[in-house]
Amino acid sequence: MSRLRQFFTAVAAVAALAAPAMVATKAEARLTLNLGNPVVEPMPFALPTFVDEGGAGDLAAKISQVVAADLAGTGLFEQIPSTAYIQQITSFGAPVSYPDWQAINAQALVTGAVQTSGGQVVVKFRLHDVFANGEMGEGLQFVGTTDSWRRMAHKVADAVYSRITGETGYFDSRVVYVSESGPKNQRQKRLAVMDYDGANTSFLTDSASIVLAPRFSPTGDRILFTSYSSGFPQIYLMDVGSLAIRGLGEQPGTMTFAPRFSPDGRTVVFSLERGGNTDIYSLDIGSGQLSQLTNSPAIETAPSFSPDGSQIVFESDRSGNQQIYIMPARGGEPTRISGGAGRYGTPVWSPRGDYIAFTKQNQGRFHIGVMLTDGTEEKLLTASYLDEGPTWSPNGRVIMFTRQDAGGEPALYSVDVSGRNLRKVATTGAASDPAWSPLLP
Amino acid sequence: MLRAWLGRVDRSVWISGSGHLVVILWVLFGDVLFSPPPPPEPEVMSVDTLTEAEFAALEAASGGQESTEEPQDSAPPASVRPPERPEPPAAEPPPEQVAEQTPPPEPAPEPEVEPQPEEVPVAETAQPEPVPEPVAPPAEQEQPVAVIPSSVVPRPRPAQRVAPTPEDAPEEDVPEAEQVQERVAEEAPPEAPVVEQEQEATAPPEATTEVVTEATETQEAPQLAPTASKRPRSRPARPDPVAKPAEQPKPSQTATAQSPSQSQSDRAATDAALAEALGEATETPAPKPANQNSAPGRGLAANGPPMSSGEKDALRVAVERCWNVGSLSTEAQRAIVTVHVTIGADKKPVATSIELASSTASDAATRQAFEAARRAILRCGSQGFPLPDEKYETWRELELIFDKGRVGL
Repeated sequence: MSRLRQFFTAVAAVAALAAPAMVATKAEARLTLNLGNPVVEPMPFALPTFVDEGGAGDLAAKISQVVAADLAGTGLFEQIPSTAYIQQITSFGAPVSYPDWQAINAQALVTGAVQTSGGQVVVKFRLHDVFANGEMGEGLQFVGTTDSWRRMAHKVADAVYSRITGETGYFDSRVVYVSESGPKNQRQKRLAVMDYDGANTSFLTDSASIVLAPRFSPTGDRILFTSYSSGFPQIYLMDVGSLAIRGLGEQPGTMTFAPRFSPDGRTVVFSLERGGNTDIYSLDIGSGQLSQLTNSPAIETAPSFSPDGSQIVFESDRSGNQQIYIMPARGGEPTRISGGAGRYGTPVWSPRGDYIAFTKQNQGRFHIGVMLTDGTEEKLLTASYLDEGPTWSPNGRVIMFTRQDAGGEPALYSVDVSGRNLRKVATTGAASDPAWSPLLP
Repeated sequence: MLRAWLGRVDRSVWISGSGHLVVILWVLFGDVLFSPPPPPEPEVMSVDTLTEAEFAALEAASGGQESTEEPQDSAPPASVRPPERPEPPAAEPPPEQVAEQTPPPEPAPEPEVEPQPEEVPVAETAQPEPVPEPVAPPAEQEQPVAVIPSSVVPRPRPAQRVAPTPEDAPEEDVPEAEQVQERVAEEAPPEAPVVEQEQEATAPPEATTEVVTEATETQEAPQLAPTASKRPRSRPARPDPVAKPAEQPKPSQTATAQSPSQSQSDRAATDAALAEALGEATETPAPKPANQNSAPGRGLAANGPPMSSGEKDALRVAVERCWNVGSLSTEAQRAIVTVHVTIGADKKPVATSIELASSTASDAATRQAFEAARRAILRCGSQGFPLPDEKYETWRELELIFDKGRVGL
């Protein structure tokens, strides 16, 4: 019995010693390859016209077109022409023949259906990973009024974009900007708001006074802007729903401009000029309490909060020319982060917190660029006669800005943060000073 | 008494027997178990001998004395090793026998300024090397190269596709495809016996190697191609030809002239380079530190013959060609995802076997990065990967590490 126990003990010991070796052999049986050179190109996708499930009429086609335009407009996706489709989607619930879509190299397939009744529109869709032979996420539907069909389409596009890229979309958002008209010596400037793609433009102010630099609140229901209605630049707050306007931080003998909300929407930072000196101040909207954040003889302006509200980036010429600085949100010693040749201005913190967009002027040309928050990895995205005033999309992926050619009219352009996909934004007439809203609820 | 004697005998027999047994076992299995390392290969060098006549001729030539006389000794100086590159003014009489065995030298280019370098005694297989006519005195150090100032900017073309290998835009009537193929006309030439099936020409999609922003597109380049090549550096000063014979060791001592330490270090360096080259070529398992066991691209397959670097590169490129990160978020692009996949005997990936092994990113970014990796495997594997049939056991189970890094972000 004792020998038998010794035998089993020995067997167990041998097995214990041999097990790791067997596991190691199994692990080493895989051939390991390291891949580091991917391609960067638009993903081909197919989007058959959404199926009309009752009363939709041509609305199904319109919604399909907007969804496709949203996706293709990012530069990240490329729509495959419908003439290449092998399978025809005639029913939302019909099974998808993935080999037919693989044959035309569609990597993603969006199928959908539209139904309207009683002024309501229902839009539903499915996203398919063609080469995985399955859906990416589950089917989803949106319900709204018939008048808001474009928003329904943007919602669908946002959902598709988010599922593929892993980041939130930006299609269901709006842009407020300054619409310009008239001759140079009698320029008329009004606040206008539009969908991110230029559709649904409406004017918020008349042309009685010049307005500048509108900025959305974090919830998108209010707009800060600068107006010359008093003869001097002053900042105002507008309620988007009622278009009611009231002044902020009005003080005799001063000029206020370049306002921007804090992330919680309760504080406004802006520049205040008093006695020829410009510093940055913060104003508590509820209590009206004013705080001075900088105190130097230099011109300091264009403040912008970090997404967490703890820091402010701004421009200052305290070093002799315009550079970008960061300071605590309650004021304090600023740190210069820009260091390249030329002048830097209008810094804007990315909603994701990783980059700061800016305007750079160097050797007679203007650039829109981005840099990390410590000033490193500066990358110039554009170059032209005049590029300025960047604003971030809600997801921090796209930058919109003002471009004006020599002798031309200002217009809005957008560019991907990587520098690709530079596009002109369709606006009604000349446009400048864009400000992107957050994603609409 | 007998018991005591046997006890003593037993002990001595045990000692003696054990010793003999060890010796016998050593004889039988010693070479197998404890084979000594093979003796180092003796270093072999060719040794040239020098006859008196050749030495005299060489000495005379190096002493600057012009002589056209042939050496008295008519024996062919087969093993004479002359200076490899003669100085232009040096006039050394080539032995006839050697000249007969040597191909006719090429004429020196345009001896306008300086006399043409004359032939020198050469070995049997050595080629006379004409000395090019220098257009300028050789520089002592590297010289700056003149460039053409120009506003023309050499830069990557902006293209919608960014790939490791740039591709020109295909012609208008040529469809894009991953595989390049030539156009085959429907009408075969008259002399062609077989009419080939019509095949459309395809070309890879236009691609550039980096994201070209508008700013970089219009950025001025500092310089273009140089207008002149670099001036050659001056040749190291030759040792004194007169003192050379006295200082140089005898040819027969050349093989052992190196100090032992230098010889050992050279051998070690040679062995290291050889081992590295062999390891690169065959991926032979080599002992390495434990923390390098997972070195990317050097995985080992225990069940099959190793794949060569070329075979692995072909597989790597085949997957990378379909690995598109353009639609991923920046976090997903930075994610390092390790994917396991089984490849069938038909060299196509088994879709259900693709699984995520590890990732460095958040769940959302990991999911997007993994899906992009899976699409790459399935798309470019749909027609089968370029893999050697005989190494199926090696590539059947793959571990692919997708790591884009921060390039292009």
